[in-house]
Amino acid sequence: MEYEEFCREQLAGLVRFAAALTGDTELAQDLVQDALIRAYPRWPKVSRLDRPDLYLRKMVVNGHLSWLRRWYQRSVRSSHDLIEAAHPVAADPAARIADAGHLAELLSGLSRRQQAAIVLRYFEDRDDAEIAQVLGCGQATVRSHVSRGLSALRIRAKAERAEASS
Amino acid sequence: MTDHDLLRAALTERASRAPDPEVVLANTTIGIRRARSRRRATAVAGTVAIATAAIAAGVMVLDRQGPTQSAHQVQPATAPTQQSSTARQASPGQQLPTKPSVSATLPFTFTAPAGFRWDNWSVTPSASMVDLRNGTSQVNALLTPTAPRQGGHQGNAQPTTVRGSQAELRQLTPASGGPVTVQLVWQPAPGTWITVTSSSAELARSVADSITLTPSDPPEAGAVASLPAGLAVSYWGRGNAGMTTVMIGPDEFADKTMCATLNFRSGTAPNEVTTSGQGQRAPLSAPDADGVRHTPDGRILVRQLDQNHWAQASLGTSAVTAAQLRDIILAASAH
Repeated sequence: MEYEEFCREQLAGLVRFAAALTGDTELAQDLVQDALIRAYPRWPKVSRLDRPDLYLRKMVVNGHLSWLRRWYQRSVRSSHDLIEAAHPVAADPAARIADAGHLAELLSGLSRRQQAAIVLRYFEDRDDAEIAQVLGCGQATVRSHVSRGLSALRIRAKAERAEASS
Repeated sequence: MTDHDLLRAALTERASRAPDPEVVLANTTIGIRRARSRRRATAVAGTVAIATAAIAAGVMVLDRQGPTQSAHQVQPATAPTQQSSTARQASPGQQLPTKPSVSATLPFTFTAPAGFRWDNWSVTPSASMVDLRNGTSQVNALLTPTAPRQGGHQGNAQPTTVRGSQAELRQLTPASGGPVTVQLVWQPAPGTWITVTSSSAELARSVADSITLTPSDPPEAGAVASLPAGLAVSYWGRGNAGMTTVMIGPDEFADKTMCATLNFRSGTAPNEVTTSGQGQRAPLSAPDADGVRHTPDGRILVRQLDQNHWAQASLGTSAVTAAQLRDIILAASAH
């Protein structure tokens, strides 16, 4: 598959994957652009892979992880975030559970690899082998990421329901 | 609804914040060009003496700007046209420039098949493309200064001709399966390659046979009468976001972080605008004497261009100043 052809076929899905992973338009754009630019000079090799689409997702995920590492070194919580943390808004618990945006907030509390595994499984419907290829780990590790990620989500959602009703 | 369904809904909501693929593609093209320039400069520095390398780098910079693209050139405005491509006056045998104009001018003309309308289009210094759509049918024409890369589909390539030029007809099967895509690729002039892609061989052939290297104007492109000194357009196009976007920065290869963004939109300007990818919004001031409105931080300007069109100009980094942003939106017009 040619580079230009790959972009035409896969770019829409790739930017949606990056947005689902990050929840941030600007960051998703940066990650996909970086991945495509870095993939271009290696394309003769990349295009011979069985699944160049998974390879590009791997580049996006790795970029996200390294971006987070850089960001953590210099990030400072904004005053708005501190106010939110000190005075959480207690909404109707039923409404909060049903709110997709809130569930996305919970997702952001998982480890980055758990997030990536959850996005690949539940947004892209990838199987264990595909997710393992993207994350560069074994299939058992993938199942662990997904299982623990889901458990963490349920625990956090339950804790917030309890907090909201108290 | 199960937890899994909620999770899928949450992720789908996050995915709806995806950036415009056309803008991503434009920035990627710019980034690739920059990376190539860096690699060339590195190669030169590694093989010749330092003094000679410095001279070579200077030549490369001059070459990149080109004889007609000085950094201080005021760019002309162009008028949009209707659905079909409208050719401009061109001298016979006109050679296509390898770096297209930074105005909203496609470096080729084509005839859209019956029922097809313009979907996405873009003009950048390194590629120009248009997508035509009729329901689920689609055909894409792409013009690049270099040959499209050869991939893993050579077994299905056949020689043919397009308007008397040698061409290649390719049948491409996506790695993930799905319908076969047909591509016609030919070189109509030195330094100019055209690729027409469609799921239908007839459609690809129809559009390919109609293409000439006469510049034409896309519809609903908007226009900018002049640019502030020192600024150039790096991208002009209409992507999936459904509005025309112009990226303006310190040079024609500036990436988006260095650019101000000008959007042309239909209808009446709103009273508040989105200020971040996270959906944060900010109110707009009342119009000043020139009809310009601004957000409280002054980073976004809005102006009603006519009864049916408005424009929004947004600052990127300090590469474009607030005064230049104001000049840009004052120079914008719908036609």
